[in-house]
Amino acid sequence: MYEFEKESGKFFNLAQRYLDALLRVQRDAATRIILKAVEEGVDVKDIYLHVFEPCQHEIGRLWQTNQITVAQEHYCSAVTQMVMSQLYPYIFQGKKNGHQMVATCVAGEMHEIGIRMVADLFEMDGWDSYYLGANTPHESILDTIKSLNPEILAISASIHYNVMAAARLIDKIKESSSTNLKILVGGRPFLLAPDLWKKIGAHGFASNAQEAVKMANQLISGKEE
Amino acid sequence: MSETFNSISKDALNAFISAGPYIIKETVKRSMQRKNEVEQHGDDAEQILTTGMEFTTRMLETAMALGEISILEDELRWARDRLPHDKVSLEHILKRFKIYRDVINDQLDPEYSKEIIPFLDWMIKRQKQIIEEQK
Repeated sequence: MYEFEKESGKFFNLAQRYLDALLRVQRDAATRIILKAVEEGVDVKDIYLHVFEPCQHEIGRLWQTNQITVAQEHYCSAVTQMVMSQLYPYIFQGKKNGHQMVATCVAGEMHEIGIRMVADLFEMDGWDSYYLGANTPHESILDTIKSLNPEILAISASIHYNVMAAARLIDKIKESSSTNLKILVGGRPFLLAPDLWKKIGAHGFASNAQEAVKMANQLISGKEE
Repeated sequence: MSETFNSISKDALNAFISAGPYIIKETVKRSMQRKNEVEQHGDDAEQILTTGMEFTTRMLETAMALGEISILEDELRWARDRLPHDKVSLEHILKRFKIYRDVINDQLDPEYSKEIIPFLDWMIKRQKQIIEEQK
């Protein structure tokens, strides 16, 4: 079984149809596939975890092996972000749990879909999420923490060398803040090196958006391992 | 190739970071002299090599600061799959790593280079393995 099939699991057929539409440059068809699936009862979380995430990984692999161009890769990502926006009526309708989190890419990190998915899954879990996007200046992140006083900060670093930016950001937060803020990190480098999150001073690491929500709930309830 | 590497000292890391621009420039200069290895890039050769060496330098800095060789392992796998499509052969990558190592040896104080060179040696050894695996 190849990686895409493994990651999408029982949603493989749906993910395959969505990916095919993206690669055929059929934005409207791709959108319809997802909206129809949700109308028919597929959980938006499953769409995120078993359709969008594996499709993004597969698109990355297709570019890496020269089967699609950078432009195609960017197009597919843009369409997925647009479809995510169309799912917001489903995402922002739940009951709130009173918790707040901020989700951001470190300065220099341009890959934003992963951390946007994290923010949306927190929202689906009842949190108020504040998604800051790609390449956010660290001073701006610090200002946001100061003004919102969230319980969780989720930081994404996808390109390996951006781990150093995450480390510098965490140092700055610890120097400037006396709050009980808990910091979660995620992104490919942290999947490769299981203890990397500890080395840069984070409170936890999550391998995907669902794990991030689970870890955050453990951290704020003081049940972290 | 699961070897354990520790973080290098702050002094060695700072020396590497300070010398980074020179290391990149000199590695590119020496690589450009091997005309048969860069001619396929045409007028873009110098820029392509510079971008590659900047990337290598940032990855090395991260791996050495954190003592994480897995970062370099993943990048070499990525390079194996991607760079030949950009007309950068696996053999050329290997040769440039060797040049890069020579430049570090020439430029940095031995007190610092002795901490840095094991990372380059590992990359060279791993790249040789990758080339063998592709045959």
